[in-house]
Amino acid sequence: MSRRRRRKAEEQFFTWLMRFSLLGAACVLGLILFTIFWRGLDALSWEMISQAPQGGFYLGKGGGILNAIVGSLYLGAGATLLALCIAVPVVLYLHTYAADPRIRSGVRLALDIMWGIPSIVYGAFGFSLMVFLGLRASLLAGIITLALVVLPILARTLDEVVEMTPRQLREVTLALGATRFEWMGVLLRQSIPGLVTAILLAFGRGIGDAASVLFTAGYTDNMPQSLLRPVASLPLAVFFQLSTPFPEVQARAYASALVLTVLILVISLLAHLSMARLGRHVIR
Amino acid sequence: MPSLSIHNLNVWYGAQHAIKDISVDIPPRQITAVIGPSGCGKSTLLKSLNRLLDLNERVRVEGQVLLDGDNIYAVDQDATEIRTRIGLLAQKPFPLPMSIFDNVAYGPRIHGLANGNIQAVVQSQLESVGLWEEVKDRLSAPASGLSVGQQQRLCLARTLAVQPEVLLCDESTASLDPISARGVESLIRNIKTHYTVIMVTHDIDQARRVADYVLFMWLGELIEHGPAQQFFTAPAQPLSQAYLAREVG
Repeated sequence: MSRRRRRKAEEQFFTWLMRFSLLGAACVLGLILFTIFWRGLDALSWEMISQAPQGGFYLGKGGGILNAIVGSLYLGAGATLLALCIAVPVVLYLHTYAADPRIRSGVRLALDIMWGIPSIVYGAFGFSLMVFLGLRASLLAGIITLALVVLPILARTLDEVVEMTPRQLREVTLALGATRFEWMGVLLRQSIPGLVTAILLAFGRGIGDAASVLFTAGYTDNMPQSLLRPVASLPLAVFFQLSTPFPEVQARAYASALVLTVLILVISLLAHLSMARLGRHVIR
Repeated sequence: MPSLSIHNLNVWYGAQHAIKDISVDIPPRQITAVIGPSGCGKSTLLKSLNRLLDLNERVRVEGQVLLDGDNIYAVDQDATEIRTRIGLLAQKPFPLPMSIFDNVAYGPRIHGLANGNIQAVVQSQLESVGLWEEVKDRLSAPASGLSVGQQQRLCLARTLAVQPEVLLCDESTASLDPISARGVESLIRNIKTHYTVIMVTHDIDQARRVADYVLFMWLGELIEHGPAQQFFTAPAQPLSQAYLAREVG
């Protein structure tokens, strides 16, 4: 075979290989969506998403999972907000004041390790912390534990975005006589789209994590009432309903999974749509 | 008018001796061109004048840069104050991630210079760089949407809005198209009645066109300096002669 034909064949082979890989990834997503839609759509009703469980809900009687929907939103939002309060200053500090590159790589390593720790470990840690503090399973304990889970996601995603800021932007800002704190403000503006992505990833992870809230947030059939009371969450609602022996309750588990997925989908779409507006001032 | 003079300035990047014992007085309200081949330390010299070198952790500076007799490297000097008095126009235009209006307003806002009339300040600065007519209907649009030439004029307006006494230009026309480059060049020429301008350029022709005073550098050393007329017609050093004849560099 001539060299030219061999190179062409090589290119075609790898192009097709990449197309098949893409197809494989798309198929997995499609299959998951198909399964939860197919099995959950029937059980999904207005009652299901507008009411808390009534007596005998897990035996197939009336009610819904509003408690878990609201609980999960509280948990996800609370944890993201709490983690944000830590992640943003940490990342901005790393890129403005922390002059020693060893500090930066040290913090990054710590965050990467945190990212890799399974969430059940955070759950166990949160639980022992609760025991130590004399806290009961509650929304607050769930938020704190979940915040630890999403902190590395927020911080590292934001860190990567801030890292891509053109070096000259810092020079021209400081050349105007800006302090390092004022430079932080400019840096934050430049990083807004990345910040939104980071928040989104963190929230998506937070809202869907079961293991960390299992011991810490507990579960209840009541609507969330107070930071110090247990709350329900969607992943645990799926788990409890799926583990009953009743087919109609199991179908509701898929409906709950559907609600969870659609929730994340809608939030992703909204963020995506707002990105063009949020990112319009970004300097590339 | 501020006096700017450099005394026995030495700069090291790690072990590399980038600026070698330079002493020179910069004439006020004139354009001083710093010329020399790439890597001769022109930009380093420029950035040592507004303490932008501080951003690099590996840099060590010795010697003095006197602004009105005060050493800007003295311990009690505030770098942000120095940078307010000595503005910079960078090589590539880098607008801030904000609207056109906010770019110009940024400096006056952080330094409290607008006296409650930021609108007028922004307009007059944009007019002074000939950008007002082009952007007055889209002041809230992103600055990144302007053409590169417009962006550089915006950056000039942004720098001048801080009311500096000295303007440093780091090859400020090098990344522009020829027409925009001429535009920025003539802007710089027009403002020298109000500012002391120090301009790094690798373009000898540009230096000929605009400079009143010339510093010629070679491998970190200041080989020759003097009035432009004298330097370009009768350079004293053999190296300067060879550089101007484009035999070296």
